[in-house]
Amino acid sequence: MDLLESIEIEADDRRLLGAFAVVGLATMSVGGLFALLMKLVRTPALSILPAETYYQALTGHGILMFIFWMGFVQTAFLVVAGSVLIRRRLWSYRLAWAGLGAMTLAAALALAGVLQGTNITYHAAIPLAAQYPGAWMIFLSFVILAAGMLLIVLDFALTVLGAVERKGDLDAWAALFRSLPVASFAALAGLFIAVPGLFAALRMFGLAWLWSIGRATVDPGMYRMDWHIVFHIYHYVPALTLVGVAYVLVELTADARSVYAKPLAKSLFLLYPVFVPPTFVYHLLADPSLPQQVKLAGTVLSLLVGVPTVLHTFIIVGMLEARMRQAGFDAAAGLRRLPWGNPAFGSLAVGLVTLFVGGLMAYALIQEQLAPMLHNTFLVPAYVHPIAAGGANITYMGALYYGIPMLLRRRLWGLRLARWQPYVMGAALIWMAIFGAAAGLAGVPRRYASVGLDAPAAWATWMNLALGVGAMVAIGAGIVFVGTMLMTAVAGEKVASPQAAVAGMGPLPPPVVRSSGWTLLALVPGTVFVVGVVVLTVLAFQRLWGMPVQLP
Amino acid sequence: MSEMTAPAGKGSMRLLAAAFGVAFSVLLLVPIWSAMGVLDTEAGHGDHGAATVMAAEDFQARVDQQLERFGQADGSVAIPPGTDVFVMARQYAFVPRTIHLKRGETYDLVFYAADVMHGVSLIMGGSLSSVLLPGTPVTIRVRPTASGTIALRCTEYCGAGHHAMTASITVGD
Repeated sequence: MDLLESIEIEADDRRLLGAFAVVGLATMSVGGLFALLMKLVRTPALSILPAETYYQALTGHGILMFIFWMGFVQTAFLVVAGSVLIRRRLWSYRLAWAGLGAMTLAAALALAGVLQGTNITYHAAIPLAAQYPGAWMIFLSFVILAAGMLLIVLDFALTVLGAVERKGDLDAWAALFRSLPVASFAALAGLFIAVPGLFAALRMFGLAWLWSIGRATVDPGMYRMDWHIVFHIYHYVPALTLVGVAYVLVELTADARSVYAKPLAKSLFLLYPVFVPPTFVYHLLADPSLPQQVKLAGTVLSLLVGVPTVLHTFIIVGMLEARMRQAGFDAAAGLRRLPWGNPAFGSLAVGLVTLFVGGLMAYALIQEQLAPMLHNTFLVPAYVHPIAAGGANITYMGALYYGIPMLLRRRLWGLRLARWQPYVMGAALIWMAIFGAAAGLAGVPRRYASVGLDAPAAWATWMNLALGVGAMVAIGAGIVFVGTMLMTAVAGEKVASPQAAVAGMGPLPPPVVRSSGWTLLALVPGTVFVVGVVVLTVLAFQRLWGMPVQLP
Repeated sequence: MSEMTAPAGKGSMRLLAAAFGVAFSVLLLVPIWSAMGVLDTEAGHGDHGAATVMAAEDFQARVDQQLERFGQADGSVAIPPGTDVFVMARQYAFVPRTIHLKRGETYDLVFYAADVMHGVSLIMGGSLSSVLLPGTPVTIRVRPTASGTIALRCTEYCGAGHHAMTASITVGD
C-alpha cells in the first residue's frame, strides 16, 4: 500500500504529537529569538546591544536549539516511529505524556536559568558555573530532560517489544525487523547510542547539579571529558533521525522506493553505534591533556564517522534517480521533473545539500594536525549550522510541512511562501558557512561578544557577511516557517482526512512505466564529497604551513 | 502511484559496491597524511606539550621573576631567544599584556589558567590555539617567521569579560 494512503493518525497520537509540535516549535522560536539577539551584538555593523546580552543569548540559543529542540524532535520521531509508521498504539500514552511533561518542565527551567543571567553556555563548564547562582537550574534542567527522554525511549522500546508475540522465538524477532519501516528501524538503532548517552547524562549532570548546590565535588577535567562524550553521542541521534526522516520524506513526496533491499538501509543504521562512540576525541583535539597518540587514533577513527551517512545518501538519491528512470526519464529530465516545488521535498533536498557542505568542513575539523588552526575559531559555528540548523533542522521542517497539516487536518497556509522557504534558508546557511569559515581562518574566535578595536580589518568584513547577511536571512526564513505553521493552525482550510491536507502540496512524478531503474548518478554526491575532503585537507595544510607563526 | 519496485540486478549490485568503495575511500587521507609528512605519532612533537599540575603561586612566581629580569619601562617584557615565556591567564587578563620576541627564533610559550578554563589563540594571518585547563601549564612551541604583532585572545568562554581578555606579542628583527 502507498505510504501516504496508509497513514492513519489515531486521536491519542494526534493529541500527543500536537503537544510535541506546540512545545517544540515554541522552543525553536525562543531559540531563534536568542539567535537574533546574538546577531544584534556580534554583527560588527550592528553591535547595538551590550556584550552581556550576547553571552546570555548564546547560552539560551545553544541550550534551546541544540539540546531541547533536537530533543523534542528526536522523541517525537520515536512516537511516530512506534505508532503511526507501524500502525500500532504506543505501549502507554501516560508514559509518553509524562516524558513530554518532564521535558517541557526542563525546557522552562533552563529558560528561567538563562533569563536569570546564568550565562554559562550549554557547556556549563566547571568551575566557571560556580560563579553563577542560577547554574543549578541549568544542570537540573538537563537531568530532567534526560529522565523525560528516557521515559519516551522506554515507551517506544516496550511498544516495539509488544509487536513480538513469541518473545523467545528468533524467527518472530527476524520477522519484526523485516517488517519495520526503515525509519522505525532507524529509531530503534538510535537507541543503541541514545540510551547509554542519556544514562551518562543523568549521572554526569546529576553530579554537576549536586556540585552546584554544594553537595558534591566534581573534577573539572573529568567533567569536561564526560561532557564531550555525552554531547558527542547526543548530537549523533539527530543524524540518525534526519536520515530516518529523509527515508519517509523521499517516499511521501516523490513516491520513490529503494532499488536495494531494505535490510541494507537498516543495517547501515547499525553502523552509527559502531562508528560514533569512539570518535568523541575529535571535540578535544585542542586540549593539551590528551596524549598525541590518542588524538591521532581519534582522528583516524573519526574518518569513518561520515561513512554511514554517505552510504545512506547514495541510497536516498538512488531512490529518486531510479524512480525518475522508471518513469521513463533520462538523468537530466528526471532531475528537472523532481517535485522541487513541494516544500517538504525542497526541505529534504536542501537539508541534504547543507549537510554535504557542513560535512565537508567537519572533515577538516576532525584532523588533529589542523586542530590548532581551526578549533575554537568561528569555523566551528560555520560548520555546525549547515549541519544542525540545515541538515537536521531543515529536514525536520520538511517533515512538519506534511506533519502539521496532517495532524490538524488543515491545508498548509501560504504554500507559495513555503515553497521558497527551504531554499532561502539553505542558501543563507551556506553563505554563513562560507564567510564564517573565512572569518575562522582569519582567526575570529567563536563565542566572542566583540570583534574588538584592535582586530584585523578583515574580521569585521567576514563577520558582517556571515552574520549580518547569512545568519539574518536564515533567521528570517525560520520566522517564515514558524509563521506558516501558526497560520496553518488558525487559518488553514479544513479538510476531512490527513491525506486531503497534503494533497496538492506538490506534483508526484509521473507513473512508473518500466521496472528497471539504475542509480549511477547517485554515486556523484559521495564521490564529490570524498574528493572535496581531500582537496580541502591539502588546502588547509598549505594554509597552516604558510602562517607567519609556525609550530616547529 | 507506483506499486512496482525495481529488482536489484547485477548492475545495481556493482553500483552498490562502488558506493561502499567511495564511502570508505575517506580512509585514503591516512596515506595522504603520510605523504605530506603530517602523520605525527610522537608525543609532544610539533604540537602542544602538556606539563603536570602546578600551584598558581608557583607559576605566578615565574611570571614575576620574568618581569624582574626582562621587564621594560612600559610594563612589557622583552624575552631573549632560548628563554621560556610565561603567561598567566585569569579572568579577564593575560599577564604580561605585551611581549617582545625576535623573528625567526623558536620560543616555548608557557600558559597557565589560574581560575577557570581559558584558551589562548595566537593570531597573525590566521590563528593557532590551545585550551588551557585550570592548574595545568600548557607549552606552545612557536617560531614567528614574520615581523609584526601577534594578537592573543582567550578562546574558551570564561565569563562576562571574556572578550576583554587580550594581549599581544610584537615580533621584531
